[in-house]
Amino acid sequence: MAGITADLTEVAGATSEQLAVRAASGDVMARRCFGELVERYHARLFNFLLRRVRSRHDAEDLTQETFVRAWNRIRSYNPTWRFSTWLFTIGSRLAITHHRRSRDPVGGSVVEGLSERPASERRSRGGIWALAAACLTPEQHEAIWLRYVEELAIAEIAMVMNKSQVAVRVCLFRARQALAERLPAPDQENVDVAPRVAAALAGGM
Amino acid sequence: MGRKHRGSHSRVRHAEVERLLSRTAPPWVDPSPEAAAAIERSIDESTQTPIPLELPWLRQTRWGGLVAAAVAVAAVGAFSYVIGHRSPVPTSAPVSVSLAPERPLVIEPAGSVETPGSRAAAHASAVASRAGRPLESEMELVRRDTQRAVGQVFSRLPIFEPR
Repeated sequence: MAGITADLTEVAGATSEQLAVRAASGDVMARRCFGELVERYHARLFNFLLRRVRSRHDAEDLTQETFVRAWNRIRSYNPTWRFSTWLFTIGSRLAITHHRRSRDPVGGSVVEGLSERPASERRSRGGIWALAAACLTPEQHEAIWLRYVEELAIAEIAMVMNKSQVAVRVCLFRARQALAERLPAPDQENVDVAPRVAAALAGGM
Repeated sequence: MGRKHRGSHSRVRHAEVERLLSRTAPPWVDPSPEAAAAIERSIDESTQTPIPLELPWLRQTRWGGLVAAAVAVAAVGAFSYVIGHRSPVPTSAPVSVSLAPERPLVIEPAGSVETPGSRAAAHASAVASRAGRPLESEMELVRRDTQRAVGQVFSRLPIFEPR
């Protein structure tokens, strides 16, 4: 009993990479370690995929499929990469396959689930992200999401998006440039971001 | 001067956007609680189903198809070679002893005196030394039959079809 408690404490305190390696070892704690990974990354992966497929139902299905595939292929995980990079790479590939299957263009104009909230609330909650969702291409949005929400390095984003590092840097630069062009410059009366984003969105986004 | 001003202004705006992206939390949607349970359930189900045989060395290389084709060709070649050498190859007709040379090549020491008795003894010793070994003509036939068999195997492959 004490051993099990110690193992559970160890699982809770371990890094994601350590948990993934333990899950790949196939010992008695493997399933428990992977369960901990599911708990840590479930919401993050779901929100990432929600911006890709723009449907709550599809995002939940893809999240589930991603975790099942990750579990079945956990032995191929390379611990030199972060677990999040590996997991998001699988999720991204599945999202691409999903788009090919459904023959929809990647991304859309409205995110189901987010659109249920009033527009004013979305703007105040999202700020610059609401502007990003409105004016960036799906590829640019994915790049800035991985960079600023998931805090991945350029090399890791390149792996997830299956692009070169130079292409990722260019994509990030263009995304920031597009946002900078649309966001009104701060003046003495209007320093806060939310009204400026609201003005940009009202200005024909 | 104006160009320099624009560049500096652009850098300031880029820095502001970068700061906003780093500090602003994106709109977050909580997944439904049932979804987490469904994930756990499907993982358990996938654990119970047998995982298909995987060849990681084949999957991890971009040239997996080419490697597989090369391995297949090598396997067919090795199989044909082994079959050609190990299994008895049917000949067109059994080799009769009469086809064997009347008199085997026997190198006789120089200066030996050939007498009817010594000739008979030499013939008997040559026959005894040949016992249990195939004749040269038989070896030649087996070799040709093997080559023909291997040729027939390869000639059935599309890449060896005559134009």
